[in-house]
Amino acid sequence: MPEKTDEKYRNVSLRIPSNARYLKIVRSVLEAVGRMFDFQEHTIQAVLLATNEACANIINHAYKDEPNHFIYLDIYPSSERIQIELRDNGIKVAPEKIKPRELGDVRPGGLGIHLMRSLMDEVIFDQNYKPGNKLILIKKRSEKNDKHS
Amino acid sequence: MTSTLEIEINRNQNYVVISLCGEVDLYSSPKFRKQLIPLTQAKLPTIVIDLSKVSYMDSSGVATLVEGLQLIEKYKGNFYITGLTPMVREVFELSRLDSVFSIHESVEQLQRNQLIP
Repeated sequence: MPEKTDEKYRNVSLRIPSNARYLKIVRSVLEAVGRMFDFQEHTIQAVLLATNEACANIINHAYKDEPNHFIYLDIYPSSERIQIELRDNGIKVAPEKIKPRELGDVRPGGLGIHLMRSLMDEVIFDQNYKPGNKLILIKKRSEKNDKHS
Repeated sequence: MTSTLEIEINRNQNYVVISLCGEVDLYSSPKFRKQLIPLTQAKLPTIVIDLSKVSYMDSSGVATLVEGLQLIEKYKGNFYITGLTPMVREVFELSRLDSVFSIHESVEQLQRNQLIP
């Protein structure tokens, strides 16, 4: 059980290279934070997958698969929700250009945005952020099952 | 860094079983694709993908499976997926691909149902 610290001191920050081999580290950190703050397992898995998809999109689209850049993550767990902010310094990606594909259109790719929106309560593209991109993912605690800490 | 995905391939006379073990993500899915695509190019009549030991799969893993399905459908082969863990099943359901693939409980069930010898 985590100690009762002020919520503003629970922020965990992470910087990873824009290389897919580091995605496992992001998942491991999110899992640890989720468990530390008593989020339900289902909530943790949803956050983990949505954040993984967001990082994959940054690697593929903002950084065009170039591994010599960084992705910045800030994780904010609270009594109400868990929020993840992702920032990059890559090519500005217009949200309308990364619309999810129609699900009836069975083809490889185009699922990442759809999964993010399905799994999270809020997916916010901060279009004023410069340079690069800022994405905010929010998942609220499940009222019935997540314990508040 | 070692891969988080292990791949075992069992070839039989009329079918092949690809068993994945570990995590299928943007880093490891190219390794899976590298094994899968040549089997479709060789036009194997039946390919089974066993996911019973997969603890994590993201959209890149799903995309590889979709690509495999589309390639095998071109020559009217069979593409079966077995052993979905709850995590992987949820990704399939959210992607609405659970009705696109032929999903079965296990390789043994495919044998019992005579879908493979």
